[in-house]
Amino acid sequence: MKTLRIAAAIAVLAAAGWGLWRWLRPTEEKVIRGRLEDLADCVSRRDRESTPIMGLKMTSLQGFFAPEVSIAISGFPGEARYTAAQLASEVARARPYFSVIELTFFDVEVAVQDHGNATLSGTARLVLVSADGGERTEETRVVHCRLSRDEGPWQFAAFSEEPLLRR
Amino acid sequence: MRRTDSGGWHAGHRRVSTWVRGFFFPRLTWRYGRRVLLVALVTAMTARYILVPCRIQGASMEPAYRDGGVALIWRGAFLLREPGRGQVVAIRAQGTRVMFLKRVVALAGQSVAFRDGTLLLDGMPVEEPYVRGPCNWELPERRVSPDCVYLVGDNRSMPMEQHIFGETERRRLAGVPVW
Repeated sequence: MKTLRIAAAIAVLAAAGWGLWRWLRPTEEKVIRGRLEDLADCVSRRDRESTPIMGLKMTSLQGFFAPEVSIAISGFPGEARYTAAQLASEVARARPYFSVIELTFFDVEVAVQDHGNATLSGTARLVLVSADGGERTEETRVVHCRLSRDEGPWQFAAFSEEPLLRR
Repeated sequence: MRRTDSGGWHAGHRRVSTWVRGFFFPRLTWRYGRRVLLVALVTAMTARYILVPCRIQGASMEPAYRDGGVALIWRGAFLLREPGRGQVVAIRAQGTRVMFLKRVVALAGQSVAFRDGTLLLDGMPVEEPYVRGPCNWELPERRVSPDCVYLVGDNRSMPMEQHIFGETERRRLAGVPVW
């Protein structure tokens, strides 16, 4: 009984130590996953979101994108190429039309290449609730992203979609 | 005689209460710990790789699978068998955290079309007992690519534009729902 308790305590301490080590020394892959989660959080909008929070999110949104971003996703309005400022502005313009925006990524796979390049693939799920009628729309897509990094943080340079079902 | 009966009842009751107490408040021994670990491991592996529990979101497979229901996906369904027409399958997106439930309506090489809501397979109308409600879909004929299957949901009452369907690669088939 005593031995079991000691073993359990050692296991808990080891797990906590490993978690702390992972948290303090994140790998590039984990950093990129974190960037994706932050991007999704920035784009998302909770019901009755306050204006300061929205302003903060929109200010930080531009920093997620590379100077030039290409988008090849069906149904995405507008051009195929954007500057970071243009894309952030497009997202900001679309937000008032929805009371809730939920962007979530699942099964994310990251591949870090050399020279500050990385690719990311995952299943993106977007839930939109319109501000006027409360109509709910859900979209699930397989999305591939290309990221680049110079001196600063990782930035998203391209978004493309892999069609799951072709009519 | 009476005393023996009473004693037997008391002994049985004691045995049951000991068992119940042992079940809910077990003694933490190495043997018990190993057993709990093994059960947890087998359950986790089964739920991850063999029978994956899923919550259904959306109405595209109604009435067979209702929005908010639960399905268990048997991942080994296509290890030795090819998908068959009329079979409900789960297709994976990037991984298996998100899957789509659809029905196979055509196999590779077959031509598929919808005319006035009726499914045409190689030009011939097909009866689909699993489809309920009115349907007015119109889709020009197309041939299913090699190593692909053509998938459509059962709920044809919804507008065609809002319904996700089409052909997908055989490699995307993740299993079949068993529940």
